[in-house]
Amino acid sequence: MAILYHQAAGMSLFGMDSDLTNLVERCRRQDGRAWSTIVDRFSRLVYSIPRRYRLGEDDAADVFQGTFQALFQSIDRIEDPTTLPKWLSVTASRLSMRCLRSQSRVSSLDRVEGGLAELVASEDKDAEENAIESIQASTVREAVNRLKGRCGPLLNLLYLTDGSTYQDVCDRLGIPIGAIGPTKARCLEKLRRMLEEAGFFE
Amino acid sequence: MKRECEDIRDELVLLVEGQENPRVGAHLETCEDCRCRLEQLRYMLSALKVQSFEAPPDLVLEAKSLIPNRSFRLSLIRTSLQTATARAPSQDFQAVYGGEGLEVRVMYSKVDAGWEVMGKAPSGDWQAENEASLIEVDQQGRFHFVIGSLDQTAFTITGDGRVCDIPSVSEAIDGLRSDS
Repeated sequence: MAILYHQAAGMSLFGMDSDLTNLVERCRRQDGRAWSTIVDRFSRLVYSIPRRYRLGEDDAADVFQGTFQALFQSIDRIEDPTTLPKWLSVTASRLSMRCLRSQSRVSSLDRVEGGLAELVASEDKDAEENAIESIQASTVREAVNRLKGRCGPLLNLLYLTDGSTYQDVCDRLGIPIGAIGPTKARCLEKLRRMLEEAGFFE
Repeated sequence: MKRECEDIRDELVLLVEGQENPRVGAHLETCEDCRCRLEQLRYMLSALKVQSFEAPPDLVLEAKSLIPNRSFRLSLIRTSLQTATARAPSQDFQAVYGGEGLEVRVMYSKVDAGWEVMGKAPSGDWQAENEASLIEVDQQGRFHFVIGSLDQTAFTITGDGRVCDIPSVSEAIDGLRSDS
């Protein structure tokens, strides 16, 4: 069964579209408060991309600053502000690949049939796929943080916190170890329903 | 949801995590809804497992400095509102807010829907906003909006690289009272 999932052109879940349009419009008018909100909202999304390309902290920092610098310079030209998450992700991906290429001792061209055109097409495709993956991950993370009760903290510990074990969950949330599995399953079902209702799987 | 679908709901997660179950497998062969839910769970879990890194605070601050946050709060300088009736004005009044070398004159008029707020931004290209809704500013810098109560009359004007908050009438009056 083929399932087409949200192409992540924007982050239209959870009502963020109109907010983004307003923020971008304000940034165009040099509103530092709106800019600050945008940086805060997308800093994790942007920084995660070079780190997932296994770039070190210094190179990741360069990619991070380069991405927001590019946004600052291009903000007047972004036609659809709702595509900002994808714009940022693709930009960060391209900068990351450029960094990797410059570090490579063997030219990437040697490894790609068809030469430069193929390389560019291949990197564009990677950047696009990486962008979608990053935005999907960010959206699911946002949804976890919106879950009511102990589901949010539980899924946060189990999936979004490195090295957490069932014992950690028991110690921090007071859930008996034997109950964690069934509770986790119920919480994941709640998360799935929340995302389904928000159109994530469309 | 059918009873059988409900019964295997929790076990779909185990299946995604690699624990085969013949009973669940048999049900999935006959239930398209559960197959769909299984795929959604797989996709969701793979998205959850994508590594995510928090940006170091100094990097975030540096990125923010590209457009400095020059936000100011203007203060009430003078008003035609009589102190005695300031809490519950029943007729039109004016106020002037100022600070940071700027002055904004505002007229408040009682209307059926509440209060009409009319103002004039400083010279230059300014944008106005009230409760996150944009307010149109004409070429002469004039703007107006209608709001239910004086508690909601706060607005923001942005321009000249600055963001200026004008407090609601209620806040401004309270500020005057506490100063005196």
